[in-house]
Amino acid sequence: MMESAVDKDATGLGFAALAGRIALIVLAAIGVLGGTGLIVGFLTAFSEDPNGTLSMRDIAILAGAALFVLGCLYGGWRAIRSMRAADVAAGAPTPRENRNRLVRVVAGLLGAVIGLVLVLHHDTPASSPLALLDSPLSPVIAIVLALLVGVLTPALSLYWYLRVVDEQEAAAYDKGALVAIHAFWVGAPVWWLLWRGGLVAAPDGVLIYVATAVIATVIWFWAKYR
Amino acid sequence: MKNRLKVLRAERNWSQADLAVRLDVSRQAVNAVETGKYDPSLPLAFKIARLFELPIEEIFDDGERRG
Repeated sequence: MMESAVDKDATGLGFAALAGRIALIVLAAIGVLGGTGLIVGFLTAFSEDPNGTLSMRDIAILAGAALFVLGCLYGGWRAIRSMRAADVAAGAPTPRENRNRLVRVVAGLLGAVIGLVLVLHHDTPASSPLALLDSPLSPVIAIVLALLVGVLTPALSLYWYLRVVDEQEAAAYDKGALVAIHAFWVGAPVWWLLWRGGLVAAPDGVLIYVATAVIATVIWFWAKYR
Repeated sequence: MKNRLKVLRAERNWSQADLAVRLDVSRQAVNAVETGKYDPSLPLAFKIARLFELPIEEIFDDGERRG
């Protein structure tokens, strides 16, 4: 029997499938940034070596990295397309959802710009992706990124929180922020104390920041879409 | 908190998306309220009550109702 529009669950894919696709998109984005960084770093090193020639092995590495980036782009696009299809099948989004989507696209573009700038000004492409977050930057790039992160991001976040989201999403966001700040308040000093006792490596501010952001995002996602 | 949102919506032949537009919330919010995963704020509860032209306590049941 066909499900009527009245009975249809308007949340689209469901929590688990949606979480899987978002994880795929995040991994694809990390893959694109990592692969692009590898290509840029490789070509930069090559251009700075006056006697450098590209061997077959170098070309194979570059081709492999390019294929990897293309594969990540394709995987991410498929995941986005699948989410869009499920969303369309679940009924038309409300005007508030459309505004929310627009803000998320702008935030995604902002993140992509910041990520690309970091990748293009990163000297050690083969190292950990976390190295993108704490390797040295030129002062000009640092100021530009600080303005993007320190001015545009909070402005966009405040607009999103105060004008765009509905109360259910605001509650989900609040829950994520609450759990994350407590994880920070507890996790950071515990690490610091263990370090003072000579038991663990020195606290890593970047890792703590990333962990806090990941916790807030995961809790927000669970509270909104479960 | 239990509620009769799904029944009231079905009586009017509205989808979750239709109700979400009328309440100016997302489809997720309507689904979360209907399934009891999210209890609406007092302003949203009043908005729902006005939309269905019913008292709040005829839509939401906190389990404390006395006869």
